[in-house]
Amino acid sequence: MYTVQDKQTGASKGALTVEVGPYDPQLPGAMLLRLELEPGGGNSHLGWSARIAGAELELGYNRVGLEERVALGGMDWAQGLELVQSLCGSCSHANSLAFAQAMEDASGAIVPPRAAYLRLVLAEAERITSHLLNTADTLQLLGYSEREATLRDLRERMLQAMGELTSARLQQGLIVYAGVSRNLDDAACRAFTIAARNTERALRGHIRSIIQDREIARRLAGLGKVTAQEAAFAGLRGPISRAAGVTYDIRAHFPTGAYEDEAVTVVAQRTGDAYGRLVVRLLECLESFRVMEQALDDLPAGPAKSRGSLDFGLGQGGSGISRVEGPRGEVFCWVRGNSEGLQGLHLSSGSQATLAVLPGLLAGTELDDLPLLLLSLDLCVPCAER
Amino acid sequence: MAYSYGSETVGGGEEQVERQLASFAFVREERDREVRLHFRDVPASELAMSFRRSGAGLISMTGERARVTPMPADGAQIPSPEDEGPGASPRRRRRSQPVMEATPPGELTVRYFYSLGEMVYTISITSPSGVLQSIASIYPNAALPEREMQEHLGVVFVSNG
Repeated sequence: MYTVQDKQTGASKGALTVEVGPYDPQLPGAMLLRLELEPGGGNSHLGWSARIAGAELELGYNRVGLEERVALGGMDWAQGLELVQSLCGSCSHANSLAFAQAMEDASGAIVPPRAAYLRLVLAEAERITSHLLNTADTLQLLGYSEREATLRDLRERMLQAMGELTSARLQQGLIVYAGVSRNLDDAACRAFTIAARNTERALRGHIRSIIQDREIARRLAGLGKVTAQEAAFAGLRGPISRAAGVTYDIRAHFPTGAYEDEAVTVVAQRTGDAYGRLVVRLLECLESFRVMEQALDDLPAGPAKSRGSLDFGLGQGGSGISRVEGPRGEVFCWVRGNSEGLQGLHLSSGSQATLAVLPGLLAGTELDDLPLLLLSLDLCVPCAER
Repeated sequence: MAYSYGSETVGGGEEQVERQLASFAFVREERDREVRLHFRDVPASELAMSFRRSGAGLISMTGERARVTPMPADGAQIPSPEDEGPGASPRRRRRSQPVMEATPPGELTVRYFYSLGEMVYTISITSPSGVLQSIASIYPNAALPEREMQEHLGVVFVSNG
């Protein structure tokens, strides 16, 4: 929905303000963008060009208020985990893993090795499905309907394999305190490994053709360019910062769980634009397949959950932190509580840093490129609105 | 877990930032891959600048207010429905809760989470006044959390100069 209003107060150059949202299909979620368009030159339409001079972002249209709810009256640990898990569909595992690991950090719980490996498998599968969805949406916007359909089909194969392994395509709800809720038997894991390898084999050829397509490169090159210095200064995370040349990945630089044993190669580019982000996501899919299959081959035997309930020792309580590499960057979680319940919670997603600097990223962009740019940033508004 | 007052040489990149923070009184706790520093009423921007100079990144920040138990005002109470007889006026509002005074907000604690090498620094600043310096000019990704705390906790962030 667009509303155009003449802005006569304040701006000396008579900028035109265009509002996009808060409920617009080309936006990644419920948010309001106020875009200032530059005064146009000779070829402009009605005196304004289509280049964005400045932007304001307004959130809060889908606010959950989970942290405020916890601070107000506390919450049962299990209820907190369930609510965190249901915040977002595509980052569900990353969020719940961060929460569970923060609980374990606070209480000193030890996760069995098999559970740690299963958590890794679920995390990488979630990353693959998220990146494939973003790439398919990008190809749809560019008009590559056949390639888009192929990627969606491959993603569907992964989701079906996840469904057969865990009984849920998304939001599996397997993450619990000190492990996973149920042990996945070796036969099911072997079947999943075969399905993943077949999907990866089919995906490789398509990734090569997408990356080598000159028209895609031409269309995305230079769009939303971020330098490595800008990414580091702004605290950008995930594929956005790695596409700019910041080689930082929580799985490699702050490994926890099975990531301490299964090394992850950090995928990075240097262009910092939408094309670089597309390449990073596609190559990260291949790396995730490799790590996931390696973890399934190395899957240790044993229990999937530590025995005993949440215990902080003498009921003193405490706080803990956790850092997880989600599909959109680092997911950080801080919890505080005791054996009776959760008393403080903070969850920070990879998209929050991007949303904080989004107005700066939009400046200088053509209005027609706005949907493509927002898609390349892969923002997750539900996670930011927790 | 180790406790100490003031600064303590820890070696590596962390030594630089803790040396810069030595001018402020703080309580230090060290855990596996996390260092917690507790401050009271110190300029947040100076701490942020120290971390920025040391090459640390801001992961996130959050705030909370201590819970304050509301107190009844001089024991004043409106009679409960059980106290009213059959002849009570129907227009009289019935309440069973005592009248409460407006409770002041609890003391504010803001936590900053910095990433420096392999360590996470959790900086807690307790501010009795509820006014803190904004660090958004030093760490742009602090803008969104500061705005959220302003809206939901009533924190006042003031810009530097």
